[in-house]
Amino acid sequence: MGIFRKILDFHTTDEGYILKERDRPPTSGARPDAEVVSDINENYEEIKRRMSYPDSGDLIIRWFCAQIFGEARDAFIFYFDGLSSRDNIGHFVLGPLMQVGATLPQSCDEITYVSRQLITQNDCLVSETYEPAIENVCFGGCGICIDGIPRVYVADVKGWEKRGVAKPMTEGTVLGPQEGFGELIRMNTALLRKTIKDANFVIENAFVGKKSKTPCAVMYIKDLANQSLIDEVKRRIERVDVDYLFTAEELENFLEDSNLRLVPQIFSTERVDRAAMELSDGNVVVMVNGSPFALVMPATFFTFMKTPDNRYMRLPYANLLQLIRYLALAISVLLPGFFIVVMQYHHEMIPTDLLYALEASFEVTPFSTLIELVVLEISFELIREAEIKFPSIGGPSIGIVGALILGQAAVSANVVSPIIIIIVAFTAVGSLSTPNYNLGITFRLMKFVYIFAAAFAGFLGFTVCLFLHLAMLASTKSYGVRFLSPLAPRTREGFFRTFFVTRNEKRSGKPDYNNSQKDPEEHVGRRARKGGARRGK
Amino acid sequence: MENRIITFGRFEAASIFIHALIVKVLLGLPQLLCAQAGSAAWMIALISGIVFLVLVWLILALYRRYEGKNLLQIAEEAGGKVLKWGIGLVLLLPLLFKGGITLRLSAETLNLITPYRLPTVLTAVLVGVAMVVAAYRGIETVARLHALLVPVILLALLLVVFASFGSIRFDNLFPFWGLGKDKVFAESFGAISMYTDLLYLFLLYPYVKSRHTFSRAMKTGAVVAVVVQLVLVLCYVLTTQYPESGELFMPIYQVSRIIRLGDNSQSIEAIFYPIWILSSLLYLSLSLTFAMELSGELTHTKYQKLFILPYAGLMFLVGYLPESVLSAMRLSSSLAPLLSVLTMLLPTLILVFARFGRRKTNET
Repeated sequence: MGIFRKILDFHTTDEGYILKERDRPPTSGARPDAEVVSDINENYEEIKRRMSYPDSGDLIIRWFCAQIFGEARDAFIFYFDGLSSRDNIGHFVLGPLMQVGATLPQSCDEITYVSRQLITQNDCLVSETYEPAIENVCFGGCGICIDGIPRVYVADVKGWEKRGVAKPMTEGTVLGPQEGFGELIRMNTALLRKTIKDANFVIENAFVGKKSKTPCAVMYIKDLANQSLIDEVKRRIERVDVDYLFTAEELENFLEDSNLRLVPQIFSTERVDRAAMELSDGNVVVMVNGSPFALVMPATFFTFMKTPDNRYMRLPYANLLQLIRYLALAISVLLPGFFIVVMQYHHEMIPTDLLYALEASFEVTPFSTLIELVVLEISFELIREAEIKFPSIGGPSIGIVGALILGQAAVSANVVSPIIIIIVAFTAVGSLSTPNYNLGITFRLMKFVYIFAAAFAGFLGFTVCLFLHLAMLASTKSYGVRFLSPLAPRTREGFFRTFFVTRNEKRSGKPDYNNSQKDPEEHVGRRARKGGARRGK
Repeated sequence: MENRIITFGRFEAASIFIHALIVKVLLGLPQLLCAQAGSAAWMIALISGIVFLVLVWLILALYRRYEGKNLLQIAEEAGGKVLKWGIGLVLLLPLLFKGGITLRLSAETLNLITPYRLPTVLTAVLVGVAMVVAAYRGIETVARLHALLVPVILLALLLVVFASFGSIRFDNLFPFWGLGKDKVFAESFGAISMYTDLLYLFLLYPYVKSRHTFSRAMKTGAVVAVVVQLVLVLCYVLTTQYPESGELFMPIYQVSRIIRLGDNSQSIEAIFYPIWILSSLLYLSLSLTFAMELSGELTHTKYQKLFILPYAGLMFLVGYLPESVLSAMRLSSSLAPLLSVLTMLLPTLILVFARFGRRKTNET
């Protein structure tokens, strides 16, 4: 029978492992609101059970004798190795607790006495239940249980290894500060606090993830940001229904108006100065612990196209660079499609001499223009992806492979014509000049749609595609603000400020599309300045 | 409707109005005017433009009492639900008919001027898909698209005019009265039918924030549209001699064909194809969107997007019912007087009736 069963169930061999229902780990069954008791042994067992001790190899539980009113009592501390600072635990937790303490003041019970007199670490949580205490221990705290006291104390002794303030990786500028955010939320909020230096700058704490309880910060300037925008951001953060959340990029997916839209509706930046600028424009910024990116909302198309250079550079250069960025974006999306239209359908647009040269170069290649262009574009996307994955190890090799094999060798072997290489290079340079990575990805994808639409129906397909693309952009919203604001809909700032860096922006005039609270002094100042200038004349 | 959430500003409203009025100039109006009056075609554009502006000012004066109301709401106020339904159906007719004919004309003319090997129906389907998608995105998106693209279209037309300066011959203006003084004046009043898209003035009001904004938008739109039409017709007359000017298909495209940029380009007119295509797409999406909005308001349904596909089908049917593009154009011309009555005279009469009817009611 055994042999027959094996033949019939040939797919379930003895070596094969099948995850059965009973193999799943049992749930702890612990009540989240279970209260701490006076008996230290009972507390020890409960904490062991909740924190999977001794399965969790990095959890340290250390027993000792605490001196409470000169009486030695059993006590233990528990913390995660590597997450908490051993020095701080030694100096500010174990040291004071093990020494003979001061006398108990009249107005103080022993629960308060321990937190006020014995634990000398500057931040200490006193919890009646296990859950918040364990959450804090998971975030670098050191839990303390003492016999006879129905509380868990958690001293804030965070001390994990972290990256320091580094240069931004994705948003480089020549002028201005070169500070980028790190992975630690408090470091990031401190960087913003010291940049903004305004008492009205508010950093609200929030926690996301039912199990991970990842710390987040909702930041805004109280007298600038629109209150309904702040409420909406907080509402969406509260509504996030996920067990574990680790990064700002994950949170971005939950906070956006629609995940299915091609364009991002939240702007993310790793520059401290850029986040501060957005805050001073009345926007709301959200940061997540563990991520060096700040999420800015609302965001419009023009938010993505601006860089801090706009404020640091002299006006004419800033405007020139702004124009070049728009040109780069247009080239990165439209150039390959336009080239296909001209080469396949509208030869009459090309000067005759050039047309002869182009036709001669295409004569020797076996594939159509469309195939050549698509293959080379895909090759470039592959190179770019490889370079992002291994920037320092494989970067130079990938560059050589890309330049020599895909460029030189492909032309020499008559696989692609030189003009296609030029077009792809132009497109790539345009794409790399797009200031925002997320927006760049969107337009990289759209580039292929334009290519195929152009190949299918020439200018008709190209234009229909452009029309639909614009319709998609025009109907996108970010926190109630139209994506193409202030161009469509036109706000008072109008056309000029959208495309050019103005003197207004130099002195951080706030955009009016998010209805931020205007600083009355600013208007008075502006008017007075105007009047003064006239009088001066 | 008074508490409409979707609103847009003066720029959007003016863009919609300008584009709705000038789209026919791109599709063939200057040629029709030249056929009617020869070298004096620009005079027809001028006289009919002035008449149109007077009409706009009159209508806006009559409209003063009905802030934020479209013609349906005014009709309901004046004559109850029966009049509202009657007017609603009457307004739907030109929207769908003109939309259908424009769809056919766009597809045929685009195929004619471009070297594509696509069947005309496929061109119409491509254009139709874009129209349906834009209408599905809603009136706000269509308005934003107008705000984005109409300045680009106007700029391109301006470029065509400037670039054709080298080919201008002032001799083409003579004989001054073209095919005759009487004919010019007679045709000028007949040519008022080219402004049947005045209809949008009666439909746009609820979406615009205030009376002042609406009034300024419509006046600006009307003046700009008349000036653009006049300039384009004049440019066509000055660059193309009479018997030929009455026969050429897509006149402004023909003007763009004579542009030369030295050795940098053999022929530049292809760069203007997207302008023609975008213009058609904007007009068609506007017609379909307003037809949908009108039906939604008539039936008091919030599921008005359900009307999009049947109406798009109806527009295809209207467009492709005539045997050829020439029959479609003939049908359009023969129905032009009727459409003028439906879109210009009837709404004006409703406004007058509502105003004086209400005054009488107030007096009693």
